[in-house]
Amino acid sequence: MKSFLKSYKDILVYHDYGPLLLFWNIADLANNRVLWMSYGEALDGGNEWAYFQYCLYFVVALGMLFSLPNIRSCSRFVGVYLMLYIFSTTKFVANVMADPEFAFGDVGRSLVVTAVYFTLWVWIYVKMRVEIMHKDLRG
Amino acid sequence: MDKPTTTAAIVAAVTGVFSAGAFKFYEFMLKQKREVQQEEKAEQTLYRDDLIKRVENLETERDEHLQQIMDLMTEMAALKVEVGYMKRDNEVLKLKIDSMR
Repeated sequence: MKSFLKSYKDILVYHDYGPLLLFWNIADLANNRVLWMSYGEALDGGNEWAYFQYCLYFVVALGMLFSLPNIRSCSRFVGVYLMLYIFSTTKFVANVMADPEFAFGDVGRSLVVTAVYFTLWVWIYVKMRVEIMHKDLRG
Repeated sequence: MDKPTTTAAIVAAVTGVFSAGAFKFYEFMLKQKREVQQEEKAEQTLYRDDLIKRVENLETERDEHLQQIMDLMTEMAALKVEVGYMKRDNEVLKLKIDSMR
């Protein structure tokens, strides 16, 4: 059992993030609401700020995709993405706390899924930064 | 900006600042660790490096001595030839003196 758990730890520590980031990034871009919703529709629904937020996500995800071969630039985009992620999640939680009617559906489930995605992005970001540090130290 | 947006912006900014600080600290720790490792490695290889240096010096000295021996042998060979000629001249002179008597 111990070795079984250790193999998972080894996957997290030693396996590379590159292919995961590429596929996740493409999936994220394809899933972005900007591609599937017009600004007019968002304006009608009163979600223009959410639409701008998705636009930002889209731009950052595009930057991530095109800077993937350059780890330094890509890590900056991942950092900005994480900031956006923290901002939108905190805003969601703050809105739900202020007005429980704000969220439709299961809030707990949404937060758990968000936490898992957030862990994934943090793992990718930490891996990138550690790699950059080791590169800098090696000279 | 409404209250949730302000809260979210503050939380995101604070998280960003703290994580940047944490990474800086981790980088500092990593540098320290690497310096200690390099010092330990230098201590471990000190004796070996000293031996390598001594062997290099001894090899240089040996080459110099070999060259000196070669020079001496050449000079000795030249002197041998010279002594040979002088011996022969001496014999000739001895014979000349004997014939004059």
